[in-house]
Amino acid sequence: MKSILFRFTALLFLAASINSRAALTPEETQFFEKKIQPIFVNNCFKCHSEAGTKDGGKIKGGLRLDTREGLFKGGDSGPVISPGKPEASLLIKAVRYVDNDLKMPPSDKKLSDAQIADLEKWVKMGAPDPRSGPATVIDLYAIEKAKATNHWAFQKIAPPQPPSVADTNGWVQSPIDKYILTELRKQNLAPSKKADKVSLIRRATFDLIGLPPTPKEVDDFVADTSPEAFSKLIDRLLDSPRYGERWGRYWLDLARYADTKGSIRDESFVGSYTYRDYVIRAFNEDLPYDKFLMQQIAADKIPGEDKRNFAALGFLTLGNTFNNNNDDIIADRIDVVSKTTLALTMTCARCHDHKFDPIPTMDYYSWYGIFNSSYMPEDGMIIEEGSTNSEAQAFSAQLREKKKALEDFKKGARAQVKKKLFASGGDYMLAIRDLEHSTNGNNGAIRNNLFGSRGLNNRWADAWTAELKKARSEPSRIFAPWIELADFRDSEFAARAPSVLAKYRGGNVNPQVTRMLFPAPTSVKQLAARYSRLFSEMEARWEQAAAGANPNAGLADASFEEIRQLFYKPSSKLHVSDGLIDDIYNRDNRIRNRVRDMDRAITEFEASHPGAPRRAVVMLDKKDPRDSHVHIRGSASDSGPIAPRRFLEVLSGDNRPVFKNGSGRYELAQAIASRSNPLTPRVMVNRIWQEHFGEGIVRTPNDFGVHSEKPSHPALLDYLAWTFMEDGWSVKKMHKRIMLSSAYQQSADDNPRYAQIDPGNQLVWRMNRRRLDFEALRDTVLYIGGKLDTTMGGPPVKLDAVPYPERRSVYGLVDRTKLPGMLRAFDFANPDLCTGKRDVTTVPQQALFLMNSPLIVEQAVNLVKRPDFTAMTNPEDRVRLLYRLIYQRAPTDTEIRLSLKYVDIEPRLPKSAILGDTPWEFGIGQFDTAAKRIRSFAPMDLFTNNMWKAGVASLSATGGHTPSVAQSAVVRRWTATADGRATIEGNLQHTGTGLGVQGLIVSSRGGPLGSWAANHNTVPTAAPAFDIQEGDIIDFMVFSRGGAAGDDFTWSPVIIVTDPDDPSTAPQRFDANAGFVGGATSRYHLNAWQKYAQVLLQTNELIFVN
Amino acid sequence: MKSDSMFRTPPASPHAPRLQDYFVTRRQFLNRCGAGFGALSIGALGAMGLLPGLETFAAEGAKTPLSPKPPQFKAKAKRVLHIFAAGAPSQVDTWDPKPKLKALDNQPMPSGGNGVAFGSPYSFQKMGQSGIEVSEVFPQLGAHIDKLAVIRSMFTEIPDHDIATLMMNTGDTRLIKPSVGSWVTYGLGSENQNMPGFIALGPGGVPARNLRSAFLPGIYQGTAVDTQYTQIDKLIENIKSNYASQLEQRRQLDLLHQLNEAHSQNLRKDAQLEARLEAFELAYQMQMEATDLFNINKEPEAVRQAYAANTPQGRQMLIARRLLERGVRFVQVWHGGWDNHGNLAVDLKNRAGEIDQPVAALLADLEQRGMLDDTLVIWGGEFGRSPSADANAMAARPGRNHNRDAFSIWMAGGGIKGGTVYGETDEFGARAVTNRVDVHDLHATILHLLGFDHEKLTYRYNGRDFRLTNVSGNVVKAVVA
Repeated sequence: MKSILFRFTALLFLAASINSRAALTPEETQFFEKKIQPIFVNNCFKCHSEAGTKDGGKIKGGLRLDTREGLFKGGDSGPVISPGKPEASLLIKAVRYVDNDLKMPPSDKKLSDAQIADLEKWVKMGAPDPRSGPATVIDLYAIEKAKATNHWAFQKIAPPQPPSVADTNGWVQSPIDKYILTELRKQNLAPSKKADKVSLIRRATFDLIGLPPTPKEVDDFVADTSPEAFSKLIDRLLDSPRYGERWGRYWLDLARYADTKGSIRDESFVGSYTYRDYVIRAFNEDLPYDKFLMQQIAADKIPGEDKRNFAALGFLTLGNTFNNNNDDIIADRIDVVSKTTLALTMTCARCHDHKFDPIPTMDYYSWYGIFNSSYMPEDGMIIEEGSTNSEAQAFSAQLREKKKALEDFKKGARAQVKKKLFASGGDYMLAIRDLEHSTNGNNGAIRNNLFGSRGLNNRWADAWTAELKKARSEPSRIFAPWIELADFRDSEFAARAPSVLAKYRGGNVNPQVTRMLFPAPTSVKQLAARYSRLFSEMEARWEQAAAGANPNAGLADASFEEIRQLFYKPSSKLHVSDGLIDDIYNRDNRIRNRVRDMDRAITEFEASHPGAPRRAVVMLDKKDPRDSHVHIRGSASDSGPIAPRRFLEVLSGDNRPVFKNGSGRYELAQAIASRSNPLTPRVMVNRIWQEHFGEGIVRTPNDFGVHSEKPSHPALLDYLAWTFMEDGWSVKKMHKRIMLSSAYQQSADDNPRYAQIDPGNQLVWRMNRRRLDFEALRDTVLYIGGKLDTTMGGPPVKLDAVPYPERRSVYGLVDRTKLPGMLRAFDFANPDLCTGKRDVTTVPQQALFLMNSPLIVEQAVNLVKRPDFTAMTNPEDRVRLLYRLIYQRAPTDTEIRLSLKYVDIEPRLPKSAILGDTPWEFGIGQFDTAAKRIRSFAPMDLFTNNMWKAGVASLSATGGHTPSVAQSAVVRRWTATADGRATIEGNLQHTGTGLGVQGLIVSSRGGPLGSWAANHNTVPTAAPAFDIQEGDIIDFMVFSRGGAAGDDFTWSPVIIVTDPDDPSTAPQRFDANAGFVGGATSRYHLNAWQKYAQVLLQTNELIFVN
Repeated sequence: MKSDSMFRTPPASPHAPRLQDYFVTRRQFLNRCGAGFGALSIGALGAMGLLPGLETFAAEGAKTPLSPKPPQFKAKAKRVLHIFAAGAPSQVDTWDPKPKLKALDNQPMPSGGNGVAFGSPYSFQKMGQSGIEVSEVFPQLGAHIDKLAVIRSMFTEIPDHDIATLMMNTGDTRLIKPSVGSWVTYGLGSENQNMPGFIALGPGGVPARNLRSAFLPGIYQGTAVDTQYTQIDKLIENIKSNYASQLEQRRQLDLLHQLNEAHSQNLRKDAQLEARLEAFELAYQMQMEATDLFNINKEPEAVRQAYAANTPQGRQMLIARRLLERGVRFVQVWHGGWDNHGNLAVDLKNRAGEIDQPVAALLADLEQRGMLDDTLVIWGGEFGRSPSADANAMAARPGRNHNRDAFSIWMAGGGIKGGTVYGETDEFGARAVTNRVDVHDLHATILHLLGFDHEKLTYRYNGRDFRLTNVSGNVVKAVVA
C-alpha cells in the first residue's frame, strides 16, 4: 500500500504541474530511474526534498533534488549541474569530496565509487531527468517498507532446531546452551566455570524474589547435593508470593504505572493500586501471557470475565492525563501498548510516516480510532465491594461525612451568595449611578471594568440597570426617591435631599421605603446603604416565613410583600433565579477553590483508605465507535483520509480485516496476543532474558524496529519464543527453562582475555554482575534488619513518610510529579515513559542516601538490635553473624581483622560534633578538679515536655534543674564547628528555692573559663575572648550549691565566634536557646557496632549480585 | 540520513560505549600522608598510632556524565543564570513603555482592543549611554542598562501559567521534555563535580516538572532547592548525617573502602564497582561543599549588604553567584508574584523592588569578578499582560490580565550585546509586531551563546533525534555581541 499521506501531498502538487522536459530515450529514462533516483532518494532527500523535510526541517542550501525543476535550478550557490560537463558541475564536485567546504552527503557518508561514477556518467549524458514537474514526490515510506519486509523481527517464528554442538565436558544442560556454545566456539571462547552454590542461590533468589536468601536457606541448599537441588530451589522461589512483587514491578515499569494523574494538579487515581495488585497476582498465578495481554487491553470485552480482572485495564488508563488533552492521552496509550507488547515505536507515526519502521501514519490513526472509540468512566468501576469489617465501615461512615460536609458547604455557599445579593442591592444602584455620572462614557468595557473593580456581578448589574431604567419612565413605588436623589452631585446632596424627601412622607411610595428615608440621608452612599438594609430585612423576614407553615402565602406585611415581589416574581427584572445564584457562585474563586479542595480531599481519601471498595480505573467502549481521520502532521484541524480501525499493515498485510466489535480493542488484543504475531513472544522472552542476564538478546528491549540492534543470538531468541508459546505462554516455565541452563549458572568472574574480544559479554561467556535496583536494595535492607512487612496489596504507602513504612517498595506511592528523591537518585523508572530497561547510573546522591538517610540508619540500628545479634558477646561471632545475614557467607580472615579493629578502636577515637546547625548536646557530668577538665559526660536519654531529663535533673532551652548529687552537674555541651576567636555572653539566674547554683564553663583545651555562683539573684557570665579550634568542646556545667533535691536556674548562654583572618565576615552566634533540640529532631551518635553495620549495608558486595 | 550530531546517544552496538561505560574511572590510592579530605582522620589516627599505613581513596581525573565537555563551537557563555519571573510580569510597566496607552488611560481601548485602557502608573526614564527607557520600578537595575539586551517582542503559545511555564522551561506545552538546564548540562557537563550541574532556587520550592530530564539521563535533572530554609539538610536531601560526625563518617568510609577492596580482589577490575567507590567520596565531599556553598555568612558584610542578603531574593541571588562561581553550569532563580491581576500600581513595584537591588548587585559583582563576560544572565517570565485593565479581577484597584502575544525579557553578560533593544510591540503593547521572538527562538539563542547549534544538540530517543527547539527556532543574532 502506498502511503496515503504521501499520495495526498502528491495530488496537491499535480495541480501546479509544469512540464518542460524534452523527450528522453527509454535508456535515458531507465538510467535515471535505476541508477540516479535511488542515490538521490537514499542519500540526498533527507535535506533536499519536500518529503524529507516535511516535518519541519529546512530545505538545505535552497536546493531541491526531488523535482526536475529544482535540480536544474540549483540552490543558494547557483546551478549544481552543467549538463554534459561533470567537471563543471557543483554536484559532482561535492560528491567527490575534493573540496573541504563542500562535501555531500555530509558527515563522511561519502557515496561509493560506483555511485559517483554513475552520477558522472549521467551528467555527461546531459543529465536526463524524466520527472514531470513538481509532482514527483517520492514515497520514502514505501522504500523503508521494502527494506523492512526482510527485517528479522517481522519474520514468522519457525519451530526451532537447536544446533548440534560437540559438548566435550558435559556443559550443555539445555538447548539454550547449544545456542550459546555454538556462538562462543565461533569466537574461540569457552563458557565460564559454574558459579559456587552460595553465589547461585543468591543470584536465583534476588532474580526471582528481589530479596536475599536467609542463612538457613543457604545452608539447606548447600547441603542438598542432589541433582535436583537447583530445580527445587527455583520452584520454591517461583511459588513465593514475593515473586509476583518482584516481576510485577518490571511490568509496571513498562506500563508507566503511577498512582497520580500528573498534569498540573496531579490528583490521585482512585483505584490505581488494583492494577498494581492485579499485575502481582497475574505473575504469582502464572497467568498465561496471552491472557494477561488480552485482559489488559480488553478485559471489559472478554465474555464472562471475572470483574476483578477489570483492574487489568489500568494498563491503558493509568498514564499521565496531559491536562486532559485527548490526543496526547491517546498517543500515550498507543505508545504503551505498541512499545510494551510489540517493541515498536508507533508514536513517531503521529505526525508523519515512521522514518525507519514500516508504520505509516494510517496505522497510527487506525489505533487512534480504537482508543478514541473507548472512554474512561470518571468514577472507574467497583470491582470488589469493601468487606464488612470495621475498616470498610469506617470508610463508608467517613466518606458519607465528607460528602455531606461538601454538600453542606455548597448549600451554605449558595445561601451566602443569595444573602449577599440582597445586602449588596444598594451597591449596584450606586455603581449604576456612578457610571451615569462618569466622564469616561458608558460602553461595555467601562461598565465591566467598574463592576469588576467593585466586586459586582455583571449579570445582576444588567438586571439592576434595566430595573432602574424602567423606574425612570414609570414611577416606581420603591425606587422613585432614589431616581430623584441619585442625580444630585455629591457636594449638593446633603443640602438638597431633605426638602426633596419631604414630599415622600405619605406619598405614593412603599411605606417601608418611606420609613427608611428619614431622617434624610446625608450622602447618596448612605441612601444606597439604606436600600441594601431594607432588602436584607425583607429577605430575613421571608426566610423566617418560608420556614413556617405556608411558604406560598407570601409575607403578611403587604409593604414587605411588595418588595419581596420585586425579587421573587419570575417576571420581575430583578428576579433572584437559581441561574443567577449559580452564575455568581461559579465565578467566586474562593468558593471554587474550596469546593475543589474538598473534592480532592474526597478523592485522596477514596484512593488511600484501606476500607474503600476496590475500584479499577477501567476503559469501556463508547456507544458510537468510529474511525478517525488522519491528522496531517499531527494537527487535528488538518484532516487527511479516514483510517479504518484495524491492525498494523506490516504484521497483518494489505488486506487485513477491519475491526467491527465495538471500539475494536478486543480484536486489537487478539491480534497482539496471537501465535501468528512474531513480535509478541519475541519481545516478552527477550524481556525475561534481560532481567536474568542484565542484557537482552536484543539490547533495545522496547525497539525491535528496523534500526534496532540485531539479536546477539537470533536462533536462541526464536527458540525461546517458540517454547514460550508451546508452554502455553507460561512465564514461570520460561524462568525455569532459562535458569536451568548452564549459561545462566556461569560464574560472574571476569576473564581479561575474553573481555578484550567481547567486552559487552554479548556472547554470554559469563554471567553479568548486576546492581540491585532501588526496590531490591530497600527491601533487602529492611529484610536483613528483620523488619520487612510482607503484607500484600492495598492502597499505596508513602515511602518517605516518617516513621518509615516497612512494606515492600512495590507498594510505595508513585506520584508522577513528586517522586521521592530516593527513587529519582536510584534510577527508578520514569512513570511517564514506558521503560523497558532502567538506567544504571552511579551518582553521589545514592551514596548520600546510604550514608545519611534515617531510613538506612534505622536499619543499621535494627540489625544490631536483632536478638540473635545481642545474644552474642564475642565480637568475632557478631561479625560472622552479620556476614551471614548480609552476604550469606563467612568473612575472610582479613575481613574479620578489619572489622574487629574498627569496632575496637572506633569508640576510643574522637567524635567531634555532628555536622549541623545546632552543635549542642545535653547531659550529666562531673568535673575533675585536679585535671581542671570535665571528667565525664553522659547524654540525657529522656526527652519530655520540651526538656531533657535524667532523674530530677533537666535541661530546657533556657535553663534547667540541677542534679541532687553534689558532685554532678547538668551539662550543656557545645562543640566548635570551625576555628576562630570566641566570646561568651549570658546570665545565670537562680530561680529555685534552694541554696543557689554554681555555674562553670570549661573548655576541653584551655580548662575553666569562668565560675559563678547565683543565689536568688542573676549574675552575668561573660568569658574573655579565647581561641578555639574545630572540635573543641565547651561545657556549661551547673551544680547545686547544697539543695538536696537540686535547684532551678535559667542560663542560656551565647557563644560568638569571629574569624580573625577575615574580620569582615559576620560573627557566628551560637545561641543555646535557639540551638536547643530534642526528641525526634535530635541528633545522636551511633555506636561503633551500629556504624559498622551501616558500613556493611553500603558495601559493593551487598548491592552487586554476582 | 541521520543527524550528524556529535551528541547523539551512541548507537547500541557491541563495541560502542554505553552510558554506564562513561563511569569508567581511574581510582587512585593515595598515601594518607598527603593532604586532602582524608587529612582529618590522618592526624587523629596517626597520633594514636592505631592504624599505621592506612590508605585512602581520592577521586582524581574521574570521568562521569557530568564531567565538563566542550561545546560544538567556541562559546561566548560558559554558564547560565536564569532569573525566572514567575507569574508573567507586565511588559508595559517594566521594559516596554507605551505613552499612547498612558494617554488613553481609563478610556475604552480603540477598535480592535478589548476593555478599558490602563496606562502604566509608572514613569520611564532614559538611562545609560544607550538611553534605553527604564521603568521607575527598577532604579538600581536601570544603572546597568548598558549591559542589557531587552527583547520586547516575545510571544508564546498558551497564556496559562503552568503551561506557559513548562513552555519556557522545556520548550513544550504538554509533552514530557527535558528542561533547558538539563539540555545545557547534557551538552556541557558541569565544572563542579561535587554539586549537581543544574540547580534551581526558589523560596517554597520549584515545581519539579519544570526541572525534569525526561528522556535524558537522570543526572541532568535539575535539583530544586527550597531557599526559604537556611538549614542545609532542608536545602538538599540527605546532605548530612544526624548520626555521625564528619570524622566518624570519614572512618566509616575508610572501612567501607577496605571492605570493598577486600571483596573486589577476586573480581579484578570492574568499572561499576570502582564508580561506586568514587560516588561515596564525591558524596562525602559534597556534604562539605554544599554546606559551604549555601552559607552566605561566608560572604563579607559589605557584599551581603550590597545584595540585600537579608531578603529572600537577595539571599537567593547571592547563593546563585556562589554556585556559578564554583562552576555549577545552570542556575535558575525563581521569583514569583508577578501575576498582577489587581492592585498593579502597588504590587508590581513591590515585586520589582524585591529583585531590583539584588540583581543590580549581582551584575556589578559578576562584572567585578570578571565573570560577567562568560555568564549569561536571563530575566523574564512566561508570558505578558494586557494593556487594558483586568475586568474580571474583582479587585478594587486595577491590574492586567494574561496576554500571550507580547512580553519582554532581557539578557546580559556572556556574549550579549548590551544596551540593545530588539523587537517592537504595537502602540499599546498588546502584541509583538516587529522582529517577533518565540520561546524556541530564545532557546536557540541561549544554546548558540553556549556554543551549540540548537539543531545539532540532539538526543536519540524512541528512534528519533530530539532537540530542545523541536522543529523550529532561530537564533536572535541581533542581541549577540
